[in-house]
Amino acid sequence: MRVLVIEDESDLRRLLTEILEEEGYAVDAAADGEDGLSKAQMWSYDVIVLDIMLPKIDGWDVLETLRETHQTPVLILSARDALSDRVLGLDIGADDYLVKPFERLELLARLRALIRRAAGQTQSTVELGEITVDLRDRCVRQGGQTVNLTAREYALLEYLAVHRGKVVSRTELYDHLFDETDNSLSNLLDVHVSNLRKKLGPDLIETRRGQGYVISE
Amino acid sequence: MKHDGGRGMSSPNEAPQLPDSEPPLPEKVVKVRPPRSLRVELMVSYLSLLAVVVIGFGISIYVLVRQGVYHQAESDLLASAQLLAQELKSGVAKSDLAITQAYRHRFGPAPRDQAYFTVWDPQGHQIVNNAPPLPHLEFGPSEPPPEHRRPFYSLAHGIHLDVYLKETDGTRVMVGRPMAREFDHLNRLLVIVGLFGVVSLAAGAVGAWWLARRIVSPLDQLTQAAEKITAQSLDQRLELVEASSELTRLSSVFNTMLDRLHNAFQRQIRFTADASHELRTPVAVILSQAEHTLSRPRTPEDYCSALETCVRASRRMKRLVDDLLLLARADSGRLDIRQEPLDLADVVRQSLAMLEPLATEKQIRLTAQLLTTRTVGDAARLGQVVTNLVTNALQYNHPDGNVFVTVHTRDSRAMLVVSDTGVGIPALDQPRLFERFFRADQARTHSEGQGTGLGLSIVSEIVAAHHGTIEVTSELGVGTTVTVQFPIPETPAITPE
Repeated sequence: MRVLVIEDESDLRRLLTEILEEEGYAVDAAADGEDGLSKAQMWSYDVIVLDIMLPKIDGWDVLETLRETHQTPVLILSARDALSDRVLGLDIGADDYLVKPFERLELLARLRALIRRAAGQTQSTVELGEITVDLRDRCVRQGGQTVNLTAREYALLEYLAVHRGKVVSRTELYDHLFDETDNSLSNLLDVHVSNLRKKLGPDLIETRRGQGYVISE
Repeated sequence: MKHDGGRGMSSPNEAPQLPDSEPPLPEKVVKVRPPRSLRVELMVSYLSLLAVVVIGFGISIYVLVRQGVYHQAESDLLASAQLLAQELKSGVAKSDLAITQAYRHRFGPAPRDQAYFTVWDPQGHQIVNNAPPLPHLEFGPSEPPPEHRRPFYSLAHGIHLDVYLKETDGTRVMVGRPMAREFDHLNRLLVIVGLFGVVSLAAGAVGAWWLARRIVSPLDQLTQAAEKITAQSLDQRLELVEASSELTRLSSVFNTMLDRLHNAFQRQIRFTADASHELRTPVAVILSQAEHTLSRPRTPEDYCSALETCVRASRRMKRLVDDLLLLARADSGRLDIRQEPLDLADVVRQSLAMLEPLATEKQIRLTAQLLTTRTVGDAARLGQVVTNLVTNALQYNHPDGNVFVTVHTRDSRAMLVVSDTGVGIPALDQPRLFERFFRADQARTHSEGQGTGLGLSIVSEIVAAHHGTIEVTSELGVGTTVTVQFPIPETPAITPE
């Protein structure tokens, strides 16, 4: 899953990036509204964490402009805690509003919920035959046994599982699993897919030649 | 009708001394009269006044009319007594003596109005008496009424009026009559006056009620409107459609006061919100850094960098809290400004030395022309003024820009001028520059070394505490010049330290 963090306070921006990366997200960061908006429009993120008081373009304008073209889930993370701000934020298109200072676990849970809802998923586990993908604990169980996956492998499986039944293109997978600093070698994806097939069985992930990958429902 | 006389005494310390004869009460009973409603007060006053006037008027009329009636009756009786005496003198037989026809008509034809008379000869013997045996006529046949000097006098007994006449020869005549007819008139008058009094008191009561209502209802309106106004609804205003000029003035004064309160509250709310907002970001950094670092084992380098982040955020909080504390002190008038002799140039030199690295980092030329300017003030606080002004000049500047600081004396005033070739301040924002947490560029950046948004407010407070003035001239894209002037006290300690 790929996240964009738009936050002007340098320490907080770095921290959010570190926290989210440690949770297995691919994270891009922007220090002002202008940069944030252009990134949000250029890439398709799974979720955006947006501050309000931003240089150049403030958070309200970023959100309004983005909503004209994009449905990306947005979580506003702001020091402004007034009721009017929270209402305005949600009304102009934010999906959630979290006030600074925030609890790390709450931020992560809210981001997971936003991603789940955006994919039309209501539960925090996905059942694929005898394989269970636990979105909350970020682990995969097969017949009650936990399967050891690398962060990238898990992220790939999670994305396909959340979007199961839908053919996901290689470009989309690249967009959502790697941040802009990753050196996206084209065969990196094939390596992760083949590793997943070795660990979870060859039939779980199907290859649609010329289209992408799919986990059937 | 004034009742405030007792109220002044109602303080428990000034309880009236009880008379010695009364047993001392176990506890002091101080009667505090509950405040009476203005409406009742007005009505009672108005009605009492009216009652005094009406009753006084009625009594006067009755008394005057009654006096007139008695006077008339008396002169009629006297005239008929004189006629009787004349008739007696002219030799009319005693048995033929009678009140003349004309007077009998005047007195009234009815039997109850009929006059009676008694005549005594000079020796005091009763010679004619046709008076009925009335209890007040106690003079017997040989007992004339007591001697009197005046030619006549009259006595009133109940409704009877008797006139006693003494002729020059000593013959005495008494003519009297019951004044039933006159009393009928007088009683009718009494009823009419009474009715008139009751009617006018009733009309007065209605009038008083209406008047009191008219006076009190705008006050009630005012009270009701004022009751609705609380700290949360200070934007409400009193409206008076119809009221006296005094009340209109009261409500407009009240509204002005509400305006000021409202503004003060708004400023306070905004200030508190801004302050908490400014504190939230560093707290968020510390909290999430700590949680993030603690979430799993880290390398010593990670711990070090995490602590460095926390220190940075804490410093920012400390700066903010220091600034807030200074402003709070200034607000409560406890900004202790030391009065020490100093050279403003020295103060500026020291501050500039500390700002040199920031200027170098921002690639801005920081130059100064500092002439010795001896005055009296608080060196540390004045240093803060210089630091804040120069930091702003550096902050809102372009690389390769200039900041020029001068200190000199002019017209016995110490002058500090900080001018820059920076971005300038939009004219619209200039009046708000010294507001707390106001930033001319809403799109601010949280870069290192940046202020709290309180810098100019603090400058303004410190300068005010030194009785100085600040002047800002700025042109967008050209630069800003801040001129601070301090009065140099009359007797500055010029003696070198």
